[in-house]
Amino acid sequence: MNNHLLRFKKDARYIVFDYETCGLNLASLNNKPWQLAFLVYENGKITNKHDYYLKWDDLQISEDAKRVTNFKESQYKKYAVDPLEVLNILDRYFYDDNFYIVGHNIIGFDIYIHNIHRILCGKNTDYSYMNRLIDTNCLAKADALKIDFNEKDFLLWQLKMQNINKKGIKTNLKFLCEKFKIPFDETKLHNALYDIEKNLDVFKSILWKMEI
Amino acid sequence: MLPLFKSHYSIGKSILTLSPNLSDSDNSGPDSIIKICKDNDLSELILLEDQPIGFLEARKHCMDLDIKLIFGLRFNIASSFDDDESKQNSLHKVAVFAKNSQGSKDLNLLYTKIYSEMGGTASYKVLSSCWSKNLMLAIPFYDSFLHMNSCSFSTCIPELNFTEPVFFLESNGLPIDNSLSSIVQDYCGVKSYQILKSKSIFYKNRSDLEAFQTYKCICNRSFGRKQSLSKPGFDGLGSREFCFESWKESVDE
Repeated sequence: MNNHLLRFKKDARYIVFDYETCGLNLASLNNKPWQLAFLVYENGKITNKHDYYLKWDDLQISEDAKRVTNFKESQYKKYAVDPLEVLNILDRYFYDDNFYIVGHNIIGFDIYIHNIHRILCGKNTDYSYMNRLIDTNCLAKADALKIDFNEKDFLLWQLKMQNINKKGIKTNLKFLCEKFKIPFDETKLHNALYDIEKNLDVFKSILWKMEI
Repeated sequence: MLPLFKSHYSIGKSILTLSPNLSDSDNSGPDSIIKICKDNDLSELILLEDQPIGFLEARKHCMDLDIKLIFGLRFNIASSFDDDESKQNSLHKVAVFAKNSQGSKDLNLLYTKIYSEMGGTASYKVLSSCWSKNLMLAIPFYDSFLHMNSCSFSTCIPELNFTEPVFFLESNGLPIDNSLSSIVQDYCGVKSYQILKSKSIFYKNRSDLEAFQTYKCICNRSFGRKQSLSKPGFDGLGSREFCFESWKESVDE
């Protein structure tokens, strides 16, 4: 009866991703993404994990941003790779209609950063994947506010959730891990790969709370 | 595609001036809409402002340079005034253009009424009671009733039966553009309203985005609110395409 719901689609394919950036500007090309982590989740299993530092010659990251994002210069210099190569790997999944694109606050942030990443690599803006986005921040808000998904357009419904700014509603990853009793190591919580693994666990838990 | 310019007279919304200085010698100052029009042989200037104070300056310079000025104002409008909450939940934007010189006077009267009697938020009742055949109603692409009803929990109920509105359709590389375009096209298809492709222009080149954002940060400053280029907090400003350069590329294609 509810076979259309994502939680029952065992063969659904997801990519969960997260960018770390120099700031929070959604349009400036100076707000470069310096780390990208994503994992591929298919048939109920993680089949691929990716974690890259993106090499830019003119990376300008403030001390504040370094602290918040746990940026380590020595690690960055040692491991940073060509951003175009990384983008090509990511975009194979992004523009594959078989994949849902999952992340935390991606509608409010990471998809803009993906666009900046594309422009910096000489590619055009392309948001054609929007209908396959699943933002766990939007779902968490809906769950907290007891708002059901009862519209025909899931993207627009998520945009409505995105635009809700209500005091006292906690939807950060740490809080959601606690809420859904997902074990987590707080010292690792800003490690990009660890974050998206926890994000995946949160997503799987929320799927049982929402009729999507 | 219509270029919808906005000048710095709409405070905090544009870094383009209406300066008549056409000289190429000083490139360090702000860009002028008048100079952009002249340099690019635009025979008409569509100026959509939030305040009417730049009108006379625009009119004078356009007359001097034989540019046809099409002037409009963007208003806040609410469809419910029952209480503060319902007013807030029904807030959206409309644009009113003057079709001719009498329309400019009618538009000025409308602006005066809305800001002197209604606290800056129009109602459809007032709009229709002040309406004249010299005015044109346009529904902006962003922040319109369609946008607000689709992307937020607003309940905006337009009453457009007093005139034949036109709807602007924009494409600025924002994630919502495609969805919103479909919504506007569907609505206008059902109602048989005219759609005009357009682009809002707030700065000259894409490289001016940071200057524009800096200006917005300055205009938005207030106690307890810290804004910077790395954390500007501008919802909806997730694209570099609100510029003349982008418009020019679109029409040259």
